Amino acid sequence: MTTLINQTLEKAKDYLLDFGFSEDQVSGLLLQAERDLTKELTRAQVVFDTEPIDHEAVNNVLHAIKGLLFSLGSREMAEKIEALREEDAVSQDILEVKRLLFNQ
Amino acid sequence: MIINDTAKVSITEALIRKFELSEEEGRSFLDALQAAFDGDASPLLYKVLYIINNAHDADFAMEVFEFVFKQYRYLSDQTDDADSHKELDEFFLKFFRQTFGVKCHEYLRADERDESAINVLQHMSERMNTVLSTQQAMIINLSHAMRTSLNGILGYLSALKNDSSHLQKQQLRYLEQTESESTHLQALVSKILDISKINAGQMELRKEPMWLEEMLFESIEKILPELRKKKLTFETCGSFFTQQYIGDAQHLTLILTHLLQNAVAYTDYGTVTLCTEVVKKDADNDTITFTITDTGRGMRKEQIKSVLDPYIRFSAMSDGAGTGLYIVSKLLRKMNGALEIESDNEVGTTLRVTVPLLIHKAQKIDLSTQRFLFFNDEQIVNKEMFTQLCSFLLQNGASVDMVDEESHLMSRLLDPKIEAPTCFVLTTKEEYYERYNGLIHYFKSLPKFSNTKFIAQHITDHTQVSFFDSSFSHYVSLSTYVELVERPTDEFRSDVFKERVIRILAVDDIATNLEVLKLFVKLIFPNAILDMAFGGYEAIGMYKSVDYDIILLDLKMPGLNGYDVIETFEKIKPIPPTFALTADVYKKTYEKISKSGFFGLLEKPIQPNILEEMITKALHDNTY
Repeated sequence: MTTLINQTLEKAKDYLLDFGFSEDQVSGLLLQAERDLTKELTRAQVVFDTEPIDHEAVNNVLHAIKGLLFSLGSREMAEKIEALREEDAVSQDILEVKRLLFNQ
Repeated sequence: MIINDTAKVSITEALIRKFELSEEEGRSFLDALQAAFDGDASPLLYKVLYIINNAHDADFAMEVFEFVFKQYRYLSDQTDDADSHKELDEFFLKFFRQTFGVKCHEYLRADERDESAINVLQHMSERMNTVLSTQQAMIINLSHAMRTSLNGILGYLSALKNDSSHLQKQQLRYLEQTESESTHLQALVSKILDISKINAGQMELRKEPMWLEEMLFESIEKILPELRKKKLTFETCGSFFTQQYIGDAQHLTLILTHLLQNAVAYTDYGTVTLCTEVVKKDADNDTITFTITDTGRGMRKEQIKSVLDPYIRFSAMSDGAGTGLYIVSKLLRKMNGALEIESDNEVGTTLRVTVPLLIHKAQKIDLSTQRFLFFNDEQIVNKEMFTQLCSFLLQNGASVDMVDEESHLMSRLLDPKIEAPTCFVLTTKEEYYERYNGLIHYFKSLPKFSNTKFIAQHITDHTQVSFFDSSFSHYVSLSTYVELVERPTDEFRSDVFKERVIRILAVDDIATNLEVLKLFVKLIFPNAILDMAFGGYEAIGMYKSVDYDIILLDLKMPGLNGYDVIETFEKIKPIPPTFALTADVYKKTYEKISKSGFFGLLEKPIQPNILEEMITKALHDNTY
């Protein structure tokens, strides 16, 4: 989780600075981003570890993470999540999602 | 040493003369001096120190020491005897050492005391400031939290009301009462928040180009329903400004609106008058006075004294928390302005706002290609204002024509030899607007009028004028004319809106998404005010209390989703251009959002250039 958060925040910093926002503006936003990423990824972990898998909950949390990643300029990662999310809810590859999000 | 008689007389006289002592006091001093020479210096030291301390004056102390020194010199001159000289020297040395020593020690201690008192005071002041700023921060945070919760509550109440078919009459009444009380509480919390922000120095004034008469119209528009309800007469006099200024339009409008609302609230019969005047001019600034006079209840002298205190209300009949005038006076002080109040009990009140404003040295307006045609068959237009408007348009190169009979209007418009106006402004009786609406529909189908903008002014809320390009419940402001006709449509777009204060509501359940959106919006529209709601119910509450220009609404949220929210918005009041925010862009999404009343879709990740284009287009379409 930490790896994904750190990578996303690093990308977000470059992404936002490129638009001409000040360091102050960006650093304030990154603090909020860190909080939201931690919250959503923790939610994801809980959802993935719950048996039986609630596919709607998985879909919702992936949607939230995807939105966050898009907002923070991590387009590639967001699109990977979107690709997994688009698959039929029943066949969602939880292992693949876990690998992507938590390096597991 | 023995002081001889001559010396005794001389010193006593000098003492009496110098310090205005009685003879007895002078002799007593001399006795003390003799006693000192005899070996007991205490009485003399005591006396000298007593008068120095008693005077509490450093200059006086200096005079005493100079005097003593002179007497020493005198006695020294009088003495030939070497032993007596030595004795005299030793005595005065001892005397000066002791008196100076005591005084210096005392001054030192006094300094130390002062220093420690200052330290204590500084410490107390720092503590007080910390407590005060903590309290201010706490009030701000609490007010924010309360406002957020109240927005949520209002949202839930709205949702409940919209689905109230199963409620009994009594329950519905309770619901409406709860909603009304919550709205009242929300307004109160907003005012407390404003006061706290002002007191904490967090209320920043904007510096943006603004048209004063536009603000005046906005303020007047807000009091029109109450004026009509109370059957009060409203009069205006003075200038309707043809000059742009740099200032904080939002807060100046708030000031004028509040003062006008106050005048209407406390007036049961008669007239409310608004007069405007430029009272002082220099190269860069105009000082402007807005005078609001009413024939209302007025105030007693003691009431006038406390009227600017916060939370003061003079009538249980009036709504509000009594914070308005306090906020107005604080804001004016921040603007280097002033508020004067004159009032006679049961006669009426005059409130005079004076504020200096920086002149905006904008490029000259060119209306030379514009032809204005005014039609007015109802003599309700303020003549003075109309004269100023015509003079403004003519000065900037436009041609102006005015018609007051329908037959003349028809022949004027349909005559092929006469060029069509570029701007046609209609003012007529309330019941005629809809008839003219059909006529405008016909005119717009003729090629001759392809470049004509049709405007209806002074219409009521329920009048249907859908074929007009623009309609106003008040008179059209000068700035609106300029914006309407000055530039071609495409060129008109974003620059105008970039300068204008636009109010945007952004709704998303994830704070980061809102913060990123806010950064982008402020980058494109620096004067935009962006309110953020973290959920559907909160958004509904905010929507009820504020009129937004644009809404950006996330589709997928826990609780109410974007579709539910826009559906509720539509039930509350006509919706401004509302964009769906989503990363799920499928064909079915487009279909669903177009059926649900959205103006358009903004795909995540938000691209600033697309955001700018979409918002500008929406604002433009909504204005014209």
